[in-house]
Amino acid sequence: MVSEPIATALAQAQEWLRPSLESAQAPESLDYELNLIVEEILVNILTHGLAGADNNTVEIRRRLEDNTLWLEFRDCGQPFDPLSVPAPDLDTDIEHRPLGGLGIHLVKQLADELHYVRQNNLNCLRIGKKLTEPDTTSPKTINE
Amino acid sequence: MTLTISAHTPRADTRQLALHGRLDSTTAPMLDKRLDEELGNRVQTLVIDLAELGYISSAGIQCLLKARKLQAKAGGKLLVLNPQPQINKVFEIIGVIPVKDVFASVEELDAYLDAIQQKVLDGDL
Repeated sequence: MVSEPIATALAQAQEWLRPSLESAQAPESLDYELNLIVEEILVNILTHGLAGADNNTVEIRRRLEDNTLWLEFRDCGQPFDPLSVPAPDLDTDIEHRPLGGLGIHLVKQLADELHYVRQNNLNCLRIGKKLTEPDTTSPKTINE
Repeated sequence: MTLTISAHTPRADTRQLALHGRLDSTTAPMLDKRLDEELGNRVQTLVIDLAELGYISSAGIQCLLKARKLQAKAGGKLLVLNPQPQINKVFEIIGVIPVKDVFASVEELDAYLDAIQQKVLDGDL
């Protein structure tokens, strides 16, 4: 399903993400959701946008701002706005639903903010995820 | 972390696969292959035990969906046991497995399978 370099890139990216999750004291469920976002976006870029490209580098940046962790993905693949992908038809009976398109849908559902721009021939996708549990009545502040 | 799969046959017509670790883009092909083998043996009920699975991505979900489709086509069932809360949330977002086919405990699953067995014995199925 994925080739060896993609598996390596994925492991690297998730390893790289870990310190920011630890320093932000993200609860376990958010840790999972952020790792999931990184996997879905990175694998999507590497298997589709950058397939066969000469430069298959994906640059990922992270920034903690107030209570939101921002991840920015940049790649020089084909222009691709994940926000333009229509949501899979979840009302269709599961047995008859086509496979695929689930990863982007998951990211859209799990992220608090998603912004895409095509800039200097690069795809730039910014994803914001609030680091508090969504159900808490009084939002926690994170001490850095 | 990787994925390990252990299997047993808790009762006639039921095969149970327990997944430990991570089911992601890297490990999903391993499960896919294993599910093909298991489904090749024509089992009535395939239970996927997720108690020890800490991570699943869309690649892993697609494996389960594919197996579910194949089971439905063959007149069998695919049931999910004990998903952790964060994984259950993702299942709910995608609507992967109907809620009635997800069991929160072995007791719940046993009661369900007992009821099916009873129906078979009574000739209702």
